[in-house]
Amino acid sequence: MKHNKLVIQNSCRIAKSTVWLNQQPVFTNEEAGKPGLFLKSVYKHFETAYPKFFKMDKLSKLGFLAADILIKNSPVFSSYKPNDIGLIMANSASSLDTDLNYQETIKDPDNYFPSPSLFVYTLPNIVMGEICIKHHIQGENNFFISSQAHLDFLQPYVQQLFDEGMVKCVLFGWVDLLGEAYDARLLLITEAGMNRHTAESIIFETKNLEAVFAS
Amino acid sequence: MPETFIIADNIISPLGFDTRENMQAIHQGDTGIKQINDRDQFPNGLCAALMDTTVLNNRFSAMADPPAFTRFEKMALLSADDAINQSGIDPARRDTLFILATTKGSIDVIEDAHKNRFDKDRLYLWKAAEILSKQFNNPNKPLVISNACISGVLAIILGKRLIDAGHYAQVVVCGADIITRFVASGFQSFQALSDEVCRPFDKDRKGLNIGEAAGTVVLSSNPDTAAADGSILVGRGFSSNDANHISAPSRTGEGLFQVIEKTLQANASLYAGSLPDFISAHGTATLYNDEMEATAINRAGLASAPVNSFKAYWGHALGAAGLIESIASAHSLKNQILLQSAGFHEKGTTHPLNIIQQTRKQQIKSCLKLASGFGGCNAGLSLFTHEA
Repeated sequence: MKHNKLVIQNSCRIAKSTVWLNQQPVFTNEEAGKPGLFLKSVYKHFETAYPKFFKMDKLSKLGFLAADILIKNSPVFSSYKPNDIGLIMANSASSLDTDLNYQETIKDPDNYFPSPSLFVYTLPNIVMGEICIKHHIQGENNFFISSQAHLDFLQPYVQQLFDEGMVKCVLFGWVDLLGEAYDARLLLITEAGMNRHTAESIIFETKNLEAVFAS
Repeated sequence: MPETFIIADNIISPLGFDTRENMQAIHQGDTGIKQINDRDQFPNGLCAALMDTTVLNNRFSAMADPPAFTRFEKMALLSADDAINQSGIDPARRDTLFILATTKGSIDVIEDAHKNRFDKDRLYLWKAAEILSKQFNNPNKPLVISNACISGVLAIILGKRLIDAGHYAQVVVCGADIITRFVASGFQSFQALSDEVCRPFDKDRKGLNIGEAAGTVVLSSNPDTAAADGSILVGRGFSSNDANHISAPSRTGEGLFQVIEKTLQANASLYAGSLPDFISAHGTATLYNDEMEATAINRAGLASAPVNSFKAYWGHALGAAGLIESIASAHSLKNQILLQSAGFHEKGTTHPLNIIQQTRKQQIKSCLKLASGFGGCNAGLSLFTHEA
């Protein structure tokens, strides 16, 4: 089987009141405090202009913003067909943050039927749906749950998707949010040689991923 | 590249505790769906397929102490145990992996009534998978796939990919979901539920029934099995996204059409120029799902292929649905029988489908299994008979 040389085109991390692009801090807002307010300030700072954002739950907002910032800074993204772009994501808490809100709502007997727009977010893969709608991504969609990023599995798996011709570009990473804690680390993975738009790219292999995920 | 076979399986549902019992019930035209009169849990009533708690606990007591495990864990463990026993594999081997498919896991633990009985980490889906793999002394870190209603089909696709890559020789794929007030209220808020047994693809369909189930397939690169009725060959499968709406299917069926095209192409040598001998549709019996599916199947040129939906037997078992429906389809292939799509009487989609209206013997070699879910996701998988 063909073994494609893959690179991390760009990465975006949102955590601890800060946004990093390729491991460089590009926005910090310590004052916002809670994740909801902080994410709103990220939305404004990066001039996101996407009203659907305000309907999303916090997990989707987090993943959506990380993906949006990453893709806007990756001109190569537009050269791929929707069908050839995959989304491989993972987290620990699934949709638990929204599940807890939902459970609080239905405890009240007068509110047994909460809004359907809340219920749909009680699934972790909805964040992928939101990203796919905004950026017109139609390829492989897999959401995994593990206590920590399971890179020993995920890296060879993404490599296999490329090698078997199932994808040409993958939005890959971790999007986790529960209560006050949140962490999104998304990476845009393509074949090597596609990186004419970026200064330097990192080879997509487990030890480099571990370095990105360790910071 | 090694081939992948389903060498053993199990279905746990209100229709029975193993695949044989479930298939017998389907042959007889039974349904696990009924009116639930538990106004404390379901204040607005519910027509659903729920497991009998007493029977579940009795069954489980032969395996472990029922109060120490959640309802979800009991169903998943019992299902995996039966499938593993039938397969004859050693689940403790390093070349065996466990994959869990679920949407909500032990979601009942979120309720006050259960909070004191279990640690809150039991709500985490990875914890459920750890409990599963530890029960069978498996040394590997298990995987969890949580991709709405395509989780079960996607978990089989994933298991096959890992065997293809040579990472594992056996993969135990287990899927389960339970129904609680949490789940029921959500589907009711969508007005997606039918107040009677659902009618997939029928003109008078009015929504879905939710159901509890667990299902397990043991995948192996070796077709030899301890199970008496042989193995089924698993073809390549794919997932996609409509990129259209998070809670409504695409009008054009674009994402589902794409996975159908991909699976027909990738398995072209196994289909050998023929259409799939039948399609096991997602067929939830909501207006929009069934319409979308009929559109996608027609766009792919499969309007003449026999189609069934199992939803009127088990309801929609969410993350387990794709697993139990793939198992039922595998047994259709083993027994050379097309199973009736219960609840269908009259064409109810713009584009016509060849719905299987009566269970009948027929020579069949291939099945296309489809699934779609919230978030706009779709999955397609091909299954084939295997001549030993």
